[in-house]
Amino acid sequence: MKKLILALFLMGTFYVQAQSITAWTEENGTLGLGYPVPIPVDTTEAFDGFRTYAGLFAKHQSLVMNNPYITGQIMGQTRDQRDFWTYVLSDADNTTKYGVIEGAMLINGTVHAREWQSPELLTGIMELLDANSQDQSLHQFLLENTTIIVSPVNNIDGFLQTQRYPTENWYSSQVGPRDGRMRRKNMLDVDEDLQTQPDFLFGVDLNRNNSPYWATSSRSSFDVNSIVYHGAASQSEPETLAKVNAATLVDAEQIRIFTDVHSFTQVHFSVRTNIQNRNILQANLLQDFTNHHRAFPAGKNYVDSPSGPNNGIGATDEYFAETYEVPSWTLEIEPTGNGGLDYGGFGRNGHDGFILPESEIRRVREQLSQTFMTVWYKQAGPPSVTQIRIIDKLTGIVVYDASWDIQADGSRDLYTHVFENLQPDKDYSLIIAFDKPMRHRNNNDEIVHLQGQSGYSLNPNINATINGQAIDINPSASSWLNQKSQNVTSYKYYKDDTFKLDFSIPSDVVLDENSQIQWSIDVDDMMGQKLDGNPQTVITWNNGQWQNYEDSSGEMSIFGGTDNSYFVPIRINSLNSFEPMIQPSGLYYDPARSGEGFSYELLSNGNSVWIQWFTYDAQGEQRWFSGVGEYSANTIIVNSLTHAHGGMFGDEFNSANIVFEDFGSLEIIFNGGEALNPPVGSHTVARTAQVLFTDTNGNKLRTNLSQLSFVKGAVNQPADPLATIQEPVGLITGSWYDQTRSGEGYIIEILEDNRAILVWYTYDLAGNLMWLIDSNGMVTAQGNDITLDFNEVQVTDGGVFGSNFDASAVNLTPWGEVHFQLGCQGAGTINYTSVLDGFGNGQYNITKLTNPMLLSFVCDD
Amino acid sequence: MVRFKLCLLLLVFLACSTSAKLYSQAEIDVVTNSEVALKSNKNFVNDFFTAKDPQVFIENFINSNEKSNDFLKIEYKLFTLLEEISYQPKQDFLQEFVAVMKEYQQKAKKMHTEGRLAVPVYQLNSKARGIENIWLADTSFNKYQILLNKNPVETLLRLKNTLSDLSQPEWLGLKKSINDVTIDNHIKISDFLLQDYSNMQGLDKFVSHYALMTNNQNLTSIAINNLDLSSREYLLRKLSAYFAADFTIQQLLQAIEINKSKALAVTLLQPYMDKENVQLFLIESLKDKQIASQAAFVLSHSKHEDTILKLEKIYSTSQSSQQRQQIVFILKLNQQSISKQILKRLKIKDETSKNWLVKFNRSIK
Repeated sequence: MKKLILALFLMGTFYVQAQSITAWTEENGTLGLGYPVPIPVDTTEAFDGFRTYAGLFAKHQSLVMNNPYITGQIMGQTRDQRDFWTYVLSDADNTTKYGVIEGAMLINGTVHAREWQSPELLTGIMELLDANSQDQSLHQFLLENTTIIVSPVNNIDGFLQTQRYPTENWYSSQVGPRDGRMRRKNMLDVDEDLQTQPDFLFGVDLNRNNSPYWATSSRSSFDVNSIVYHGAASQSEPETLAKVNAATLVDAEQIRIFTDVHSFTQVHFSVRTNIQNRNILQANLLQDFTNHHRAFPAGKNYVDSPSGPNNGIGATDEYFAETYEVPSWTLEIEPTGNGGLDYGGFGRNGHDGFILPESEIRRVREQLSQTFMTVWYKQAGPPSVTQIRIIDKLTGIVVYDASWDIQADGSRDLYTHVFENLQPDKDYSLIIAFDKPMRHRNNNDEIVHLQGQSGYSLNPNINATINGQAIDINPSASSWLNQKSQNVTSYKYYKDDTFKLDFSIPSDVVLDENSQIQWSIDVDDMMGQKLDGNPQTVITWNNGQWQNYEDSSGEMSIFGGTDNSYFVPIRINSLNSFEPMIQPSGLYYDPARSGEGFSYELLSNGNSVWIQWFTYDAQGEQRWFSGVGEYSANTIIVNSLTHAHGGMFGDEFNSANIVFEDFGSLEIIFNGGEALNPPVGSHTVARTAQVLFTDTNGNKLRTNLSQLSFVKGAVNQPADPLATIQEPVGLITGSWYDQTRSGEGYIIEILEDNRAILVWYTYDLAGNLMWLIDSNGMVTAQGNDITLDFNEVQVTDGGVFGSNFDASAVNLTPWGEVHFQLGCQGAGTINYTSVLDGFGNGQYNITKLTNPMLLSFVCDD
Repeated sequence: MVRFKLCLLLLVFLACSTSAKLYSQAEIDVVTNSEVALKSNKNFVNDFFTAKDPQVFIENFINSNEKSNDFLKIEYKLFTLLEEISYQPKQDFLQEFVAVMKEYQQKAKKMHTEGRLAVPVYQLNSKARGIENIWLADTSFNKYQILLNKNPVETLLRLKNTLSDLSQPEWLGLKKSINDVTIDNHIKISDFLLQDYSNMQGLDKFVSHYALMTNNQNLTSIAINNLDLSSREYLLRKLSAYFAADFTIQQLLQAIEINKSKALAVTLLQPYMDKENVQLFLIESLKDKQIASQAAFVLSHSKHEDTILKLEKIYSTSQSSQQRQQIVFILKLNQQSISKQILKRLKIKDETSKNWLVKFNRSIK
């Protein structure tokens, strides 16, 4: 009886053929989900739910306003004339920290309006990079060494339509749910009123509107009512043109990867082309993606389901695969094909997979964002060695330095310099820097495999040979470096981009006058990519694969190998009469570049050094750069050399307007020395130095330094504080400034021959950087009061920054006179009178800023 | 019953040995839109429910069609039957059929809309599993309706350890059962939860829904301060749907003050931004780096010219570059013509805003 009643009931409740507006519900029903129907919340903030388009858009724009790494561009309009925005996440230049053109990662979202997972993920990616933009690790690396191009919402009109009707759509069991919450297509010939039935099936499927396979498949349609209507022509839709246009924000050869983010099915729909290596690399990359993501506790597995070559459906990813020959795929975000059932839903309608429960979106957003970081890290390029240094462990002396320097033609040259021979039976540290962060750390700061990776050794495999014979280098301690400092055992740019290995060379090793150790380095980056076997040729992506990515034999490959490029002399004896060591404070210059130079002061507290570089810009105008670094053994390292803006000569000067900007980094490494004959006061040894300046774009400038000034009593290690010398004038050497005019100052040196040198670093009348110099100052001491008269102060011009510097082009022009009245306690006045128009004369009260390391001078009693 | 299961499982196994068939959308449409198929399906469903022995009926149906290879029609019928069953309460004969359909090897396939992946035309497996979820939700509802009325405190104490393990259907049933709790038991539940904050631990999700569904202001206030992130945020964003404006504003401002989901709470003030105290708070928040963008987003929704003009005045006098920058942000996001006019006449002082405005030459509609 019970069954009969049911049957009678069913007779009256069978199919309703007509389309009607039907609501998705939490409870059981025609479109019952089994979980709450998400309603977009008008907020900018990520939460357990979905944001309105206005909220997402405002979030994107606020990131643009507040994070200098994020910029926005309008790349086109939609059918309804809304602006299509693309966001670029990168630093201002298009080169890496290592001087190489950046690879670009493209990601496009919300081609299909109803797939709300997509804009949340793309916004999540932006939020993740924003939040970690100063992490000195993976995210900052990506921002500074790649260009990430994010187009969060392609089908804006359609997306807004789905959010206008977040619970409703037209529905019949035959056609399925359409328009409203289930709108897929754009809004061509569609009004925004769901109630108007004639137009609800219209619109173009933006994932069928693309070349080269537009209208070539039965899986797209000429029928304007079809869910896969391909439009009137290839790229007929403004949304299609806009997303294609987004790729023009970078040069075509920069593009390394493209993802079109959809939902659902939890699958990679990748596109194969006719380049097999590309297909192999793409498959590997997607496997890495899957492995990483599956390692999260939720264990979501994304399967690669490739299509092509030579056919397609007019999808977006096909355009990018064929046009740029890069890994390109449609990412179908979870759920699986089971739809909402994956989350305990009712499985009433197969379209419920488009409606991810609110409770899942935070996890999806955050964890997929992290996974994207890893594949972009991989597509940033395989790793290569950038620098090798060997340090004498006992003394801290850098004995060997090798570095790959980028050249104007895009190749690299291996710079090498021997400061001291390697010698048997001594302990050394080998420092190897790479061009990306190489390792991942867990929450306990321990080096571990990146989740989903396991197939590589966490430490590099480093071997040494002499004349082809392997030698035991007795490796002891080793570590990846994750502490930043201004000394030689620091990471280079990012945490764990540098590896340190302590070793010693056996005493019984057989050597001759030509013996060299050849180093072989075998290491994978955190995604398991091996080293570039030959860093001389810079790796690029072209024609569907990595180019110049040599294996261990130096042959072209797509998987890299061991780098065997480094040969270091080893001898029984030392190379030098005096060991390599920093020289005392003073002025230094490259004899081949007379007309520019450095001043540095080894400060008496700690290991700080205050350094100034007096040079020129590319147009021959004066420039000065300054920084505080650290010194140890034979090195001076300044991580950030800055240049100032906003100053003005004379009364117009306002400290509040001064802004310092990073200009690059500086390293000075001193060679071993020869006896200075005859000695000059406290100066007994002459040493030269190798200088490396690296700008923020990775461009390098190398020069040499020789000592120019012999500062009275200057020493390169702390003097005996008890051995005081009552000579007040000795205390004048150092930097001075007017406390009300912070941002300009005076370097004064009292020399061993009782002359004085002045370098006044300031600004000209137009606010440009200017420095004035006089090396013939007259010193008059009366007890503790010192008078300095600089009657031949000059200004220079004509030099050119960098490798094109020509000393003969430097002009010296008389500027005027400067007179100081200084007390040995560190206070005094400056008076100046210029002979040049506009500078006039003036007087300031000044105080001593620095105390360079000198003999223990004291004032008169 | 056992025989029925065994036979069907054997059929499922036999079906495994037959390869799936890929259908074009046109072929699918022909079947799906066919009046004949619809009528046939209708008869099939009725035959199932009126069969003397539904098990034998299904067994015979699958047996007789197994060799036809007309998987599309077969699975369409089975799908239609499942669709009808999804409205029925759990019964043994239905349950057995659904259990078998969970494992049925689907043979009628179509190409996924976006890629080269064969997917079932009719999701028989997930449909069957979904029906079990529907029944599970009903069972859970019945269970908790009894438990919460019989011994509510003991039920909550047990839930403290099990709530996080409840499946979605079980949670749905529990949530629904709250509506059927008697007044006396509501008092007991509320007293228990308010007795000690530790009583809420493990019950976060329950408390966030319970506080709203019972319009319990006291519990809501305390819960905002004590629940985990997800539950707190749920509570905050649903406040306006359950409580009066004054209480909602008070709770949102309180959450901001105690730094609980601060940024989200600011944006949730949007419906109340024209209230004087809220507007003052939002304008002042434009100086607070932590929530300036959120406050700006809220103010950008203003439809009142007075508010926009007030912001212009503040821009001219504010010493806070943060605040000035955010006012520019508001003016750009705001859709009123007055905002566009102000932007034209405003002398933009900050470089960041200037650079941003260059790019932002049009705003959303």
